[in-house]
Amino acid sequence: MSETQASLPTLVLVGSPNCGKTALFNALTGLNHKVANYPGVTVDWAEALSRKQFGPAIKILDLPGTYSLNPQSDDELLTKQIIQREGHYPIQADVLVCVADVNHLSLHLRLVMEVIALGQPMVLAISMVDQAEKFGTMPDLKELEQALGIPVRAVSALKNRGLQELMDTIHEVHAKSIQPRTLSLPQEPVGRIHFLNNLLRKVQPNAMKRGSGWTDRIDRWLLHPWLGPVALMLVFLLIFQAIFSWASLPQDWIEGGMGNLGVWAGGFLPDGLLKSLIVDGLISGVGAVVVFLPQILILFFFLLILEDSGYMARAAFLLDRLMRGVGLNGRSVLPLVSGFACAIPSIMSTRIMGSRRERWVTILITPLMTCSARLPVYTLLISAFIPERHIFGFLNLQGFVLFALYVGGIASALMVAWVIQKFGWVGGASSFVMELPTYRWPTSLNVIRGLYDRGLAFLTRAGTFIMSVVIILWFLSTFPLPPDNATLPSIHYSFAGQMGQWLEPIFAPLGWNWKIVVALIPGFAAREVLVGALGMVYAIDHTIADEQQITALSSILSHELTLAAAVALLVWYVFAPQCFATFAVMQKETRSWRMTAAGFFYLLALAYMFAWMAHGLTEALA
Amino acid sequence: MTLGELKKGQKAKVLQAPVSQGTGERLREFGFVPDAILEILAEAPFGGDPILVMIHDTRVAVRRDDARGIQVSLLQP
Repeated sequence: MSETQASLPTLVLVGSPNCGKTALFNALTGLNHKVANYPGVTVDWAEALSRKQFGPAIKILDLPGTYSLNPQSDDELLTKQIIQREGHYPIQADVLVCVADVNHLSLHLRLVMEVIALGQPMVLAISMVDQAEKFGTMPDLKELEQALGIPVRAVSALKNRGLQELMDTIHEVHAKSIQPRTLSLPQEPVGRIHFLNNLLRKVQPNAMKRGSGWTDRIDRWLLHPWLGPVALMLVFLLIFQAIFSWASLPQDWIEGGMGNLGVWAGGFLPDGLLKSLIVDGLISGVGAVVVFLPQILILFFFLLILEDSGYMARAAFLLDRLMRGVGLNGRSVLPLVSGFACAIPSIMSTRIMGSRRERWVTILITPLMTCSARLPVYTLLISAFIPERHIFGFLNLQGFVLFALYVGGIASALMVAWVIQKFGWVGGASSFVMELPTYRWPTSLNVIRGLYDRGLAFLTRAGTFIMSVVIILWFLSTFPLPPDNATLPSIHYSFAGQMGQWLEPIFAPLGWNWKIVVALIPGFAAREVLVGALGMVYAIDHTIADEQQITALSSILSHELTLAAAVALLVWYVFAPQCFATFAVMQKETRSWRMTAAGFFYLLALAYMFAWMAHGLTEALA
Repeated sequence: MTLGELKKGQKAKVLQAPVSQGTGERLREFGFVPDAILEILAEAPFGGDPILVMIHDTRVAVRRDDARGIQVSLLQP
């Protein structure tokens, strides 16, 4: 951050979940924000400068929502620490801006009263007033100001209304350091609630006639005892359909683009090690990862809409009973569903979970959800070994196997959670209390910003972590260089080849030869690299088109591997603790090496055991 | 009687707030304090648990087990 930015006044947005805080943040800052993430702490928050149109620049922070300054989860703790100036964050809040949804003042003003008691310069922004004006439920702002002793402004982020007035007030409060006049506000929780109920009866007498009647009408269908679950299934099916069909076109573009980039770079680089590093290592290695960007964006597009609209909380309500059966709760649903794209954001999203026990178990089982990186491996092995025919007359056998692998992942995740609960390996009580917000149209700015953040985080990972792993792998599979009279592909003589031959006896019971084992090693860095690594091991010609490479590879594989060994490999991929980044995030989020090691080794054990069983079973049947 | 025993559509008044740490605290923050009026909006599928409670202006999903810490008196419809 530059000197000039560091000296700007800092405004911190504080509010309960679903109060419209993030929408206000986006409206005040546009898209020029960054997500702050300080090493060593499990925190992040968004930070940006105010838009030029609102006058002198001011730094704005968007903290995680919290219901009180009495935190129940890690993200709430962060908010409390920053606004109470505890902990060691490089943040000095000059003005606190509390946000309260005009339709939920009774709930949201309780936090506001706690913040008032801190005595720091602050402003209250009443959000979503466009709806309240329509329904005639606007509170009397003057009376609210009078009673709470702080400046109150009405804003609508959706309609861009009241933003200038809010910013002017913030500047004034900062310049004159106006503190709340906390004369006679009750300090204990029950007193606060009664105070607010009396106050709201006076300033917002029409509140009960508000327009959320349609939330109840929608819930009558979406929370219906049996229509509700059916609707939920349809929503999940739609998301899956979208991930696998809509993503294929942009993925083809990316693959084509990366291929062209390789050809273009190969065209002017002299033959030799540098060319090999750039073309075979960097471009194809990083390209293999970037190709998942469309799937990840599509998944997050749906997740953001489900969250913003308020449906995700309904999914948690509908599924809590099932999750409880395995010792989890409804809040685990969101992280587990995100796990179908990538375990990393999914593990990070467990921060919202209150109970540490349930959070840790969710983190432990998330790697079993079939992330999108497994898909290219599944596709390759299925096309090489599973005949393209129909079973029961209508089911495509290849599609069925793919579906079975997904279901296998979900089922084993739930079983592991159940076993952990059964034996009480992770202590702590289980409970479920959650607010179901009023339904709301997702705002396009929120969705775009969310996608931008996730896309950028993913590409940063591909550009840093994965790129360094790719360089290491390239080194291992290139050196030592083959002798001049070499007859076999160079990988045979490399460190990776030697490691594969050394590890071969361990994997022999699964039916794999050393070449498969060699290809598995880079798979630990990022699963999808297996496909490229197999190409390298079997020395597939790089100059032909991608599709032809895959066809060539799958025909080689079908001769090299037995059916049983291929099934073992598929099953291995359901469980194996692959992608080191997952475990790095696991360690960072739990701050427990024991937990991370437990996660790694239980997955390794399950992978070996089930792959061995699958191998034996397939041999016996075939 | 406790909140944990109510059925869909029933209205009640809170007599005693939940006392436990953690979950009880969160419930008090959501407004489950003496004299608050609540209504059961929905019961979840697969056994009617958790329940969805409207209290003040807030919809709160809560497991029946967690709701048993809240003493209520049923209001006649």
